[in-house]
Amino acid sequence: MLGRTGHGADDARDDFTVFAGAAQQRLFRQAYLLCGDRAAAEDLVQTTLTAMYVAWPRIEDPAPYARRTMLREHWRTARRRDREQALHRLGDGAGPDRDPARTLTVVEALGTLPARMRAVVVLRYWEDLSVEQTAALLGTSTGNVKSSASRGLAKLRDALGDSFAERVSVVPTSQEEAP
Amino acid sequence: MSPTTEDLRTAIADELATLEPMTDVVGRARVAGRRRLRRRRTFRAGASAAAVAVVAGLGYAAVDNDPPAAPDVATDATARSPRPPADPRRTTAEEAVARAMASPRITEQAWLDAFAATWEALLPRRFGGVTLTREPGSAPLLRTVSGAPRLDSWLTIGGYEGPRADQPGTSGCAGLRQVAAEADFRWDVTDCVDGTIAGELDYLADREFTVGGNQSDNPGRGRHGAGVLVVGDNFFLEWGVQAVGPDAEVGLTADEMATMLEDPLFLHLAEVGTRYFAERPDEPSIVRQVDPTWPLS
Repeated sequence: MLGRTGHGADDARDDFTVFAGAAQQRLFRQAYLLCGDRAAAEDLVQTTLTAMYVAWPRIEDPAPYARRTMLREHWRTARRRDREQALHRLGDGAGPDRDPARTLTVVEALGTLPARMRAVVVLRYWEDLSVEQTAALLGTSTGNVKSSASRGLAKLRDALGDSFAERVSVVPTSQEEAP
Repeated sequence: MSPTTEDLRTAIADELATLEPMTDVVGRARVAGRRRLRRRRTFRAGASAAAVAVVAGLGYAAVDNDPPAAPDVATDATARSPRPPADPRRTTAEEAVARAMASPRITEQAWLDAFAATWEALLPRRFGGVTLTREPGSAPLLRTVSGAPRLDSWLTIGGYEGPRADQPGTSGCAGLRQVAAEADFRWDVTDCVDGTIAGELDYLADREFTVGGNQSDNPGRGRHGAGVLVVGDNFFLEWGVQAVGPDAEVGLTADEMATMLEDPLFLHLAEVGTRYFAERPDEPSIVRQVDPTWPLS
């Protein structure tokens, strides 16, 4: 946790720049995994940092606050985007096309998961948070996190198929969580 | 043989290693943050002026200062801001909710009747009630009769998972079933300004200008809005309001929004909405049919 100042409104935000400068690339990588799109990820980081700037004097521990804010902003944006896409689909009756023969990247495969499940997978298997930490961050139960993580991994395997095994070393499954 | 989670981490790391660093946005975030703070200060100053006008006797009630709890409301475990049952608007809202809940399947009209009657009862009196508006390509909105500015309001309820997994956040039968079966559903207002996360639910209220669904700091191009988001296990409820017309800020304070949402009338409306959105006929953009069970029943 950064040392915090307790002065006036502008002084109290001086160390925001220090935190944001140090954290933005890490936040960007997390945002990219959540969004699957570079431009959207940059927007998400800026939105997150803007919200943190406003709330900065009241933030006690910036790192988890940034994670929470980013997830919140991501879900809000995702819902709007989904509504707009649904309206567009109503209009032209078609969804996004993808060549079925082309190999998905892991980030693209993450994009096939529902937003909350994707967040669980990213937090558990990229951010390396525990089940309890992930549950606390998402405001849900540990059972729900385990279930979402397990189903998310299964969906990723389905989405990636053999291409995933070809790109990484493959060993027998022995340590994954039960739902 | 199956890829492990460590393999997944390795594969993600490999892909992220090819990702160019983002451009520095700290400066832009500071500028946007300062603008947002200035707007809030301006808005608060305006609210203070309005409060002075009330004291001067101009006839508007800034907030609904009804007397405290009636016994039948106070027994409701969800009631945090109970009000007396004597208000005819509350009676009308309760009857509309009861009619909707008693029907075998909640129609759109019954849902909108309950929504409108509940809003009539909950909104501060300066808004003068609501009327239903329908705009092309948009869900029905409730527009206040008066207020400066008038407000458009909508309510969305849904789940996170289900067959339409390509539309996270606006669909999901399994999500609704799961929240009905598992969620410890409650209202928990922790912070109506910056959205501090509560134990089980996120309860957020934020204000922003929106242009085409995106945030904008250009008041001349957007409509000012405020929203509240409730997120439970695979469940979300979103209440939004927008100022009617550009360059006007929503004249509904965070405290007023919290008061409305803490009211048991709102919880009952949410129960109707959960059934309605779950039961409504299959539409491409919304949820499919599910077996609705309200968490409190």
